[in-house]
Amino acid sequence: MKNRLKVLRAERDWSQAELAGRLDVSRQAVNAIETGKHDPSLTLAFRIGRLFTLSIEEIFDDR
Amino acid sequence: MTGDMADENWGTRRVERRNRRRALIAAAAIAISLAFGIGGQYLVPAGAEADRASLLWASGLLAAAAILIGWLWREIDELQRRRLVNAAALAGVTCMALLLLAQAAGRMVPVAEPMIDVMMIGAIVMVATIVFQRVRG
Repeated sequence: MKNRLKVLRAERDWSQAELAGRLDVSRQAVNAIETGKHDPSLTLAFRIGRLFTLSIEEIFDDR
Repeated sequence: MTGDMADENWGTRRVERRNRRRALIAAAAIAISLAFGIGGQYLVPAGAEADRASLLWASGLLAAAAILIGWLWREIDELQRRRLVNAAALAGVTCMALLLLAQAAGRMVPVAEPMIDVMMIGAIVMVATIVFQRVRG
């Protein structure tokens, strides 16, 4: 699944570790989501949306 | 938002704290393994009491492993849990398949402890799967 996580992270000048800490996941999880190797659970997707104050659809695209 | 969260790098520090806790779990696992391994070798009496003592040691080791796995489970995230479950599933299926072979082979080939060998292969498969998933990203 495509997503804008890397762009959103770069806009805030956060490292993967910084974003991982803010989402309470590992840096490997952030990397796997950014590269599309892992689709986050609904819980984590909502957490990501809340962190960036965006809806899930604005971050993730399943098409 | 707490005072800690207002800080620019609070996320990074949170990851570092989590990594320190994981290192503690790894150290505890090594310490317990050594204690049971070395202790089991020297403290389990020979003779009639050996089987009962071995059972007690094995039960203690399994209980300690269960506590550590529970602790680790709370510390890891959904990706790492999925990888752990994948690795455990593959190890379990491998052990199930090899058990049949080991039982048959045990009668033909002079292998002292075929079940222990199967368990060791299962453990190797589990570790290799975890490493493979980690390297693959």
